[in-house]
Amino acid sequence: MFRFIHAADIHLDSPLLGLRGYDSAPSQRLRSAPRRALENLVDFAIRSNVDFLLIAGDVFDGNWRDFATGQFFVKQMAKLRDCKIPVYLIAGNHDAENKMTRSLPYPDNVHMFESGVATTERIESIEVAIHGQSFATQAVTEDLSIRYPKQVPGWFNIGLLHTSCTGRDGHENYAPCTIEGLRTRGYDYWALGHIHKREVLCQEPWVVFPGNIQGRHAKETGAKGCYLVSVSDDSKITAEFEPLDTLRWEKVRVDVQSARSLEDIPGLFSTKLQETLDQCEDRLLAVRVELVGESQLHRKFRIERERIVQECQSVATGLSVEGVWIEKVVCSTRMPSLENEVQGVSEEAIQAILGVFEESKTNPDFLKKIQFDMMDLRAKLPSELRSVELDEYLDGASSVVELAKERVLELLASQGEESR
Amino acid sequence: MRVRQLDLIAFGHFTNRSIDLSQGHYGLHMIYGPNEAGKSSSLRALTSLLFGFPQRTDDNFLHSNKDLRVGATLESRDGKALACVRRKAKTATLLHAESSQELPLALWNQFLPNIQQDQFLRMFGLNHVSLRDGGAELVRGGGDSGQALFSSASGIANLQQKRESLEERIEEIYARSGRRGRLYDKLKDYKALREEEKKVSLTMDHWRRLESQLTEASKQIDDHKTQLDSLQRSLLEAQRVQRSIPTVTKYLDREQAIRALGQLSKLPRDFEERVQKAFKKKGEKHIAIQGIEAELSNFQMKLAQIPESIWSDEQDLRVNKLISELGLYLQSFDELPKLKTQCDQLTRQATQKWQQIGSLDSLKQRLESERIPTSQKKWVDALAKRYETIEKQIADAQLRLGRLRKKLDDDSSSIASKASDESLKLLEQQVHNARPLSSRRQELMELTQDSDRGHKRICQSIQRWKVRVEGIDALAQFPLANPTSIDRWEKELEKRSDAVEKSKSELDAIVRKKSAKQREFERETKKGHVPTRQEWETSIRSRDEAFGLLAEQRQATTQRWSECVQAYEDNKQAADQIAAELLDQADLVAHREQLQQSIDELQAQMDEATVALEESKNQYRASQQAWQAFLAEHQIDVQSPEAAQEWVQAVTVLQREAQDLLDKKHRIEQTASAIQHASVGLIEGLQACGSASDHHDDFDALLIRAESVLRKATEERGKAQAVQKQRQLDQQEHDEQASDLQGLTDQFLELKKQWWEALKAIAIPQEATPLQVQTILEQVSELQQISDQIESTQGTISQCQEQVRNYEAAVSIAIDWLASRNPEAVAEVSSQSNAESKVRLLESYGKQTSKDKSQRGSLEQFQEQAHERLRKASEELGMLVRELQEMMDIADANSEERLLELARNSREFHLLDSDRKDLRERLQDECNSRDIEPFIEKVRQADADQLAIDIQNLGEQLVGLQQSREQAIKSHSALQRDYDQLDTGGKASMLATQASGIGIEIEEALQELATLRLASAALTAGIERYRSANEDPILKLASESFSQMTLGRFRGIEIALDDAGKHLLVGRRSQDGPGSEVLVEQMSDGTRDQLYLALRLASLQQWNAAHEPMPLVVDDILVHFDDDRSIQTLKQLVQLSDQTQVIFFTHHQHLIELAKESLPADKVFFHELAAG
Repeated sequence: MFRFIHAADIHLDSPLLGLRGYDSAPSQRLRSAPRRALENLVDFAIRSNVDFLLIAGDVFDGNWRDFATGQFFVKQMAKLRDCKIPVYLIAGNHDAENKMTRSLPYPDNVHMFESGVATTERIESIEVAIHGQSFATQAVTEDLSIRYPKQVPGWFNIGLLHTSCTGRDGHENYAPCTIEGLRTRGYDYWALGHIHKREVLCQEPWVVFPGNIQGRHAKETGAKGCYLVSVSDDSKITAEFEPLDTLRWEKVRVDVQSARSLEDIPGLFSTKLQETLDQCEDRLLAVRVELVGESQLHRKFRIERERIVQECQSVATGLSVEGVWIEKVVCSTRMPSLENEVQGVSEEAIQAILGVFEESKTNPDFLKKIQFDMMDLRAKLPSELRSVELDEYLDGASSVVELAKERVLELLASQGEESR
Repeated sequence: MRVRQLDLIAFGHFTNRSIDLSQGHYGLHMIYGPNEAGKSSSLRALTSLLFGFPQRTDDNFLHSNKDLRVGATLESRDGKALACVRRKAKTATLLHAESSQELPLALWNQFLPNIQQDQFLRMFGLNHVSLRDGGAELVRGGGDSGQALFSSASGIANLQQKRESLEERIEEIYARSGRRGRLYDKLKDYKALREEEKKVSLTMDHWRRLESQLTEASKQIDDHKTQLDSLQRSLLEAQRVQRSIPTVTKYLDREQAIRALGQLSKLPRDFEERVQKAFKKKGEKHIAIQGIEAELSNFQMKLAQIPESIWSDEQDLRVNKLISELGLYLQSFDELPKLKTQCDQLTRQATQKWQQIGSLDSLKQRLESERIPTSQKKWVDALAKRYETIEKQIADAQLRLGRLRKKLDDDSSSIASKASDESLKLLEQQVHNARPLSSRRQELMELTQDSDRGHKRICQSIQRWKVRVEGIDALAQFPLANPTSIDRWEKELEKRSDAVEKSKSELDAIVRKKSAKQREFERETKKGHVPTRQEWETSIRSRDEAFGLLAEQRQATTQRWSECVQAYEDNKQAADQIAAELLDQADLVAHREQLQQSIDELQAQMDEATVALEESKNQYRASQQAWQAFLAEHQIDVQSPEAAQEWVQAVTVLQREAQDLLDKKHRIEQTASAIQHASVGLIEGLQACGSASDHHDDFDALLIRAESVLRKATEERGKAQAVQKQRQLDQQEHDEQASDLQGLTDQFLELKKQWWEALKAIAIPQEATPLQVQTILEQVSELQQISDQIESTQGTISQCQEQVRNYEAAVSIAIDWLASRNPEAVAEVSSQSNAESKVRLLESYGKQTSKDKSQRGSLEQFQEQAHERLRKASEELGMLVRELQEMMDIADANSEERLLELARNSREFHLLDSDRKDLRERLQDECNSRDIEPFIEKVRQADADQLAIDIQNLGEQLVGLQQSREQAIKSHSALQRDYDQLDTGGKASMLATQASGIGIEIEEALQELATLRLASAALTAGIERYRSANEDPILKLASESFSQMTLGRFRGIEIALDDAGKHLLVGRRSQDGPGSEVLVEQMSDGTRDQLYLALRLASLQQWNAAHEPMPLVVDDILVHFDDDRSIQTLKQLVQLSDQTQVIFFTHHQHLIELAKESLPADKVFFHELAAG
């Protein structure tokens, strides 16, 4: 019997995206969170006394520039060397992108597979054969698994592969492969990497994505970690998930249908957040709050989002001393009815103003005509902030038109309120 | 909507004050009130009426909040009227004036469209302040015509501020000028963080460079170390040589001295010491032997002084035994007198007991011969106990039997029957029948009372509602009208009444319109005579007649020709003049005709309306008659359908109550009959049971008595049964007790026999009672115990006497043994008075003998030890002599003196040799394990002065090199520190995380900015769009008004374009040419007020065209206007009053005068508020 750990997508020192600062935020813990996840992996390997550790690519981020990050990884690998735990790793697309990856002075317990051809590493003592191939370039579009070596008969065969498999949302379609294709190799376990959401694709043979070990942004929610795989003497496999993350991302949906004013939101949020906190033990928590339901306050929610963020942050700070970040408040509420909400302004005037928005939807040059131009600002943005989504805002995408329309209606309605 | 009448019921200082505003079609109503007359109060009252009282009001100083009331009669555009009252309350503030019921909102909305107070005041309220503010807003807008017109037309005059607030938000996020705003700050922070991140990120080149520097620094440190080691070695060698010079000199001196002493190396190092030691020991041994010999002589002398012992072990044992048994002997010796006294006392007790037993001689004899055995005593005891028990049982049984016999006799006499079962059964049945009626009797009383009350109430109600019936039975049968029919009648009458009201209202409206037209016509007429068509036609006719006359005259005579011609000419001229006048004033004529026509039409309408009204009235009257017939038919004594409905409902209720009452009476009769029947039955039952009663008794009393009789009889019967049952049990027990008594008597006789036999066996007479026997036996037992004690005491006395005798014999034996050995001692012992003194003396002899013996033994032991020590010392002395001889042999000495000399020389040799070896070792240390001889030679030949110079040079070189090395180490440490600090613990990642957080904020700020900019742009565009769609008619109307208000100085207003292509509102002077275009900001305050007023009036006209007109409430807007402009403005208001009601408050009397002089009287109406 032997045991090994299958991890992937460490993305060491990858910044955690979207965490704005707040008073009393435990910045020190946050600062060390990505590295603590790797330390947790190493400690877990030592504690579990595993026979070896597999890392299926993307140890580093593609745009990783801090060589100290590499040094930290090397030190962690050295801890495993001291405990006589060998490490087998392949370079993923992000590793291949980074020039520094191959310059690291890895300790001798670390074996990195070549990129030109798939090779096999054997562990004689437990008769385990590990087959793997690193990414040579960032974008590998062919199915690498086809050229993986044949199984070593009578041994336990593991395929270490960085792949999007049959393709997954939100991930580049690198080194695509199929389960049927993997099955033809006759291996016992395929240790995959690249997809950040953990998934056991198949158990005959075992084809596993362990996901990344630390969520990096609001879309990578839930527990993150590795699989501890145990292989019995009769080659029976069991895989047990072990959470390693120190900061967890979660989405909290708050139904605001019952809210009569913005002041009701903290109370509703508090209940929901407590449920989430109960499941996260003493981890740091980053929360995306989604307001849902039909509400007269729909526009207020969208306009006063910043205030809601602040209030939710206060609630979160009150509930947890460990640290909870409110990453964002997303307003997915609906307006019950548009009738009779604007008063004090003649219907013709409202129609004239709404007509402007309608026209902007059908006439692409219309926004220019009314002198809506954000290009002056775009030029002042750092290039990395010029995302496609942002460009859409700046160009006047339909979502912005809708928001602007709501803003104007709110303005006119508030005038009505004043007159009441 | 217009206000027909404003009722200041209870408001401010007003109480039940009304202002009639019904004159005219809409009319301009000028309300004059000097200061403190309540002009402002009236204004507030109107606003309060329309929109409710504010939460806090200053108008409650006379009337309390709950009493505050403002009423009005409003009229909608289609002529509907509504009289209402507004009160200050939290709910139901708006009431019907007549019914005081809450006014339905739907009805109110027909008069006051969905318009808020703010909007009303902004659109339909004007005062000199708002006028001035409006003008100021025109300037603030920079003459922005779009905004000005749009604002004035739409009623959203503050939209400009709203748009500005949007712009302010935009500026807060990111000022268009740049370098300011939240976004700018965030971008700065973001860039700073990214820069910081770059700084803390470790590049591979940097790492390599540092790694290389570190290696180089390590190598340098190693090189320095090598050189330093070499130098240190040279220096150490020189220092060693320098240090060794005195050592080598000493070493060589020692070698020379050793050689001078000769060959003494064979003698051991400690030879001199050993020799000295041997001589010393030899002397010591001689002295010791002499001491031991003196000791031995001393011991011999002491032994001679100790006497020989005469005491043997046997005697010693004997005396010791006597000593150990002495205590026992003394105890026995002391006990003997006590025991004898005790024995005497017991004997006396026995004699006393015998005396107590008395004269039972047989027993005495028996006891003297033998004792009574214990078994016999026990048997007698047992028999005595049984004897007593049975005897007691017999006595108890006899007592119980006696009691039972008495009880049986008593029970037999108490059992007796009281009443017969049949009578009781009859009474029981009657009570059973009567009992349910008892509760109903109470019910009957209540029902009767209730019925009486109900009867009275119904009779009163019959009178109250005037129902034409005789008695309650008739009421229940009274035929009532169907409520549905009354409903129908109510609707019919209401319909007819509404029709009459409607006809009246229509007629009133027509009459009002006609009188308005009539007044207008009269005003037109007053302007001067204008020939009518009739006059013209009469004139033409006269002319034609005149011409006919002329023609006639021409054919007849010519006598009056000239007169006829003249008449014709006159008539012709008159007709022509009328025609010319008609032509000249055709418009006026047409207008008059139109008016006349309207008046005629209205008259016709009025006639029609009068007919319609009459018809409606007739129909209403017919319906009323039919209704009266219906009422008469159904004997209803009220008038209105509502009252009839109420009457029918009331009578229906009465009928139900009457029916209930009849039912109740029926139930009362039934119950009373049942009670009567039950009473008779009860009397019969009681009589049967022998209880006297008659028919005068009350039902309840009868029932209580019957129940009581029944209860008593039942109780007695139960008791007799219980006694009978108990008697049977008692009889049974009596028999059992008698049987038991007999058994006990038999047992007692048998026992007596055994008892007698037992007494006989112990020689006690048969007549003795068990108690007496027990007493005798107890005394006998005590006597036997005393006898036993006497025996025991006598035994003890014998033992003590024996022991004393034996001990004294043993003492005599010991004394006899001593007699043969020490006759003096025997005499002393024998002279002692008692055995104890003798034994003590013998003991002291024994102890003295033992002490002497022990002393002798010790001395002999010391003597032996001294002999042994003497022998040993002699042996050691011999050995020392032999050792000295051996040493002399080794040293080749022929005498002990020579031996001592050689030994001293040997000691010096060894000291020199040791010193030499130490020096050599030190030199060996200095030369660091190398061959020592070359080193000694090197030192011997070394030049000490040169060596000192060399050492100093080497030291200096070493210090220099060490400094270099330290420098190299410092550099290395610094590099190492830098290297160690390369890893900032993921600081770059943290900075990137922070930057990402700010990035999100930037993104959100950008999104917000984009939203706001787009909102602002769209709002601007929307405003402009609305303006262009609406400005033209307003502009035209405003332009005309403005021209009139400015007395023609301005031709009007126009829209012009500025240099940037932006629309501007400008005034155009009447005179063309340069300067005819006047910008808003160039106008005087007054002109600007007029411009704003013109725009407002134009906007109102525009509004009124499409909406329910609302009264324009104006408060002294002309304070800044001169008289001419005031008149022109008032004329504008008159013009507007054709479309909507204008209520003009002023406290300027001269304005009222001006209006009266300048404005048409049928369109302007004056009201006055009294001061105070």
